[in-house]
Amino acid sequence: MIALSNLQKSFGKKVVLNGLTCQFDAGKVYGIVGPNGAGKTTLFRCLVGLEEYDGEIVCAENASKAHIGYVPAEPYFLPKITGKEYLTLLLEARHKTVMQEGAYHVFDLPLNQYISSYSTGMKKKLALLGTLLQDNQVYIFDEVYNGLDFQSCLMVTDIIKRLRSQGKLIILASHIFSLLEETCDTILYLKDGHFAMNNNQEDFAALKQHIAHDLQDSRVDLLFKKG
Amino acid sequence: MNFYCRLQFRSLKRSLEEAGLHIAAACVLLVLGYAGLFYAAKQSPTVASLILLFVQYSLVQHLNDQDRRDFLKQLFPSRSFTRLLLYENTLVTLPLALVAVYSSAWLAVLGLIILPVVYYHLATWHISTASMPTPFSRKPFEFIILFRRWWFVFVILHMLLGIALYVGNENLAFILLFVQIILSLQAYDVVEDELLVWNYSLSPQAFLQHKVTRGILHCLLLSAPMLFALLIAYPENVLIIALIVIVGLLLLLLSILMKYSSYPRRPGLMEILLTISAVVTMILIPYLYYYFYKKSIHQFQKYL
Repeated sequence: MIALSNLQKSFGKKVVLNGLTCQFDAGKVYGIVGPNGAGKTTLFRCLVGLEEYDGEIVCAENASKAHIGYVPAEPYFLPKITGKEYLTLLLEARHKTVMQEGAYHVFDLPLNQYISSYSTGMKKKLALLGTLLQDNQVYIFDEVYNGLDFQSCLMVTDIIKRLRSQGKLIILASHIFSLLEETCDTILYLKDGHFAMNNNQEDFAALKQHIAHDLQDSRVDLLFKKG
Repeated sequence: MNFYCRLQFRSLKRSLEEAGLHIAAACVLLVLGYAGLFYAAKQSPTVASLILLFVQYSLVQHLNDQDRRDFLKQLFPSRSFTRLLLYENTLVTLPLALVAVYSSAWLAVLGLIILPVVYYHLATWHISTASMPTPFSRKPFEFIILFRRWWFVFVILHMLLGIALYVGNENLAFILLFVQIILSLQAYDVVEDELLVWNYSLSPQAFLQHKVTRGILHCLLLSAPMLFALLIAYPENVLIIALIVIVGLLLLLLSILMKYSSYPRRPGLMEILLTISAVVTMILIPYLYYYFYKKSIHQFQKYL
């Protein structure tokens, strides 16, 4: 559905993505893990066309921009706008309408209030709801679980599984490995600009161990007095 | 609090430099603008009063931004916070009030003193209540934000129009209509995140056309009560009213094109200088529309 071939991205002299090659197929869930600054968000922005890049990203017709829903790690909201108006804007942008009015209330959000009065988790749910109502073919979720309560995390996991069963492609980044284990078919470990590991479900335990070992850092000791 | 003030200055300086304006040049422009206000006050106290209230309202809105206020509240003890609010509002109000005093516009002086207090309470009230209904809610987003930010001024303008019609001051009535349309340009003050533009399944040309059509329709809808009132009161001046609307809509079109010509950043010094030079020379105005249109289409290539 989406194929990356030698994808490269640099900011000045800093190389962020260094020759990524992989294939994302429909009906699958892909997890991207990596330390802060590894390039997960940059990869997503390249996938949706918000960043220029070198190399190639080939998308199937049903994975073109008009069929991608992207929820960034920190969704942007306009000032003085209610949740309902935000959703109307997203739907209008894609010429979509909602068949069932009840769909608006899946997350039980106060849609007639200003978004500025929402909590972090509510904002995340609103952004997620916007892309879901658009009925996309591809979903890219950057840290979608951040700020969500336990019940909402379960709901999002359920939604991801249902999207997969409908043959949609989901790519998500998260620091919560247990949630990725539960939802993903494949987890890619992004480090130093390339995929250091690419594991299927049966190898998740080994991947987790590898990452834990990789990210261990003795500098934390500097924060605490000895003896 | 000293460091906070220095930080504010540093932040302002950086914003100006980002827009391509040196701090010294900004000071010169500020002095020129201030002198211009005195000149305008001498020529027409009514117009000057409206300008002064407009400038103050824009600045006060920024000062009362919810996030900004929350941040300051948790940063400073409550006494320092109150003192800071007082300093900032005085800094904004005093120079403007001096101009109003100079032109003996006592109503404007009163307005300038009361407005920050009223706005402070209104901003707090907004946070705790549900959203304000607008006639634009089904078609987001520019005029929804405009309406909720400026409703207070729109109410005042309509009240003034009522007075102008009652006393038969048609010049004031026409000025108020023009002010109302000019205020609509504020709708394009918010530069949306690139993801919101990216979301559209439209070509760059179609997107721009969509924005312009909606802008014109919403501006007319917002001005409709005033327009009808003027047409009923002064049917013999239909040409003047039409001229005001056409000029206003052309300015609206220009502000949409200017906003998107530098998207996703805010229009900078270059765009502002171009606009000023085109308006001064007049013959360059058509070219300005063409230039901003081409630039906007170019800027959208990445997203649409």
